[in-house]
Amino acid sequence: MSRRYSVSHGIVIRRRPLPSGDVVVTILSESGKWAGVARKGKLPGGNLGRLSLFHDVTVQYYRRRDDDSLALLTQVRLNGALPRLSAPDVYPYANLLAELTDALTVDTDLGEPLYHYLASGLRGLAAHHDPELVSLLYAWRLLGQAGLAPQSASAAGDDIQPGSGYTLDVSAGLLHPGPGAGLPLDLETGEELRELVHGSMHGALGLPLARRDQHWRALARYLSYHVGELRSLQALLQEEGDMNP
Amino acid sequence: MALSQAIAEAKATLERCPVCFNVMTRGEEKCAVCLDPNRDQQLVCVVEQPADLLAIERSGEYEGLYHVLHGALSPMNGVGPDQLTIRQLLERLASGPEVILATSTTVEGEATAMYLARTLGEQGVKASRIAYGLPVGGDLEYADEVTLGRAIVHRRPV
Repeated sequence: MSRRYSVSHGIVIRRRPLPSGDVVVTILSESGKWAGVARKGKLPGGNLGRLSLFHDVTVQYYRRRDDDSLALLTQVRLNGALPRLSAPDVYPYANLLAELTDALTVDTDLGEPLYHYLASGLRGLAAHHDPELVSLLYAWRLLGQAGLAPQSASAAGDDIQPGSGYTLDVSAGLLHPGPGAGLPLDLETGEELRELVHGSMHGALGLPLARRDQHWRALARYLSYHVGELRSLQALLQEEGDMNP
Repeated sequence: MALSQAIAEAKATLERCPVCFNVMTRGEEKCAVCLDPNRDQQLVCVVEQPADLLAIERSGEYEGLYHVLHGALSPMNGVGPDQLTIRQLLERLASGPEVILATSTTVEGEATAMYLARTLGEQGVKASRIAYGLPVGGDLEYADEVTLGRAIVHRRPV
């Protein structure tokens, strides 16, 4: 029944304070997702107070060998915090990326690529003038890292029949020009979606996304089928509906 | 047995104040704070939980009223403005008291305070945020980086 101390480095993607003052956190590291408990982690000032949502931390923890109980966090060092993620125009999107990452790491160990994409996405949300665009881009890229992004049946520069749009075939995981079974998208939205999923990051971050309602609808439909319902996405869609009834 | 009985009793005898949503004895009109005529009626301190209210009361530095949100915004946990007592707060503030936002200094608490500050600003309500700083009696060397950084940013003239 020996105890094993370990050190890990990652991003806090969930934080659940308990009435006792303890905090259960879920950390995404390069080697995967894991959860631990910080005794009296709600106390301000102590080093366990660094375990805030979206913080990048290095933690020391121990866990008994051959024991599947939660790891006990003993030391925390803060590597980076992004205060702008609390801003009302950014916070909902940061929640979406964290919840999506959490959902994508349920059954498989995708820690390394997802960790880097989440870290990059959170930095983008904090720095870019258009956090909504950043959240859409990184949501699709996180899906891509998990092998769930839609394949594109056309490439940039292909001749698309004038007047025709695109279709996102959610169940087949395919984005193709022209009509078909699935969610219809207008031409501009379809081409933007192809860029969001498969284009260069630099190019995608410059997209205007004229029909954002269509983009959110496409993402929601796709996530609902391939990942499940995300509460943060439902809240975003509700807010979008309230603003554009 | 005693514990379960105490929990059952608490549930039977306590309810939320209809004004500030603090806990109060069932059947009373309002909680003790709201009923106190000596309190500053033009100052409302917004907190996340009743325990936060008690902590501020222990400080002895505040004599206004409270509003308990019963949580903080957390979209990934399904907690949005409609799950908190924000609508009731906005209705209550239509009469124009000043608001102190005393939500936690966690990311969720900050997000809630910033959301409220924006919403209250749109309504023309004067709002302030509790100060960030170092714990009294603590050594600077052992302060965490975020607290220390905010203490520097929000320094005050002496």
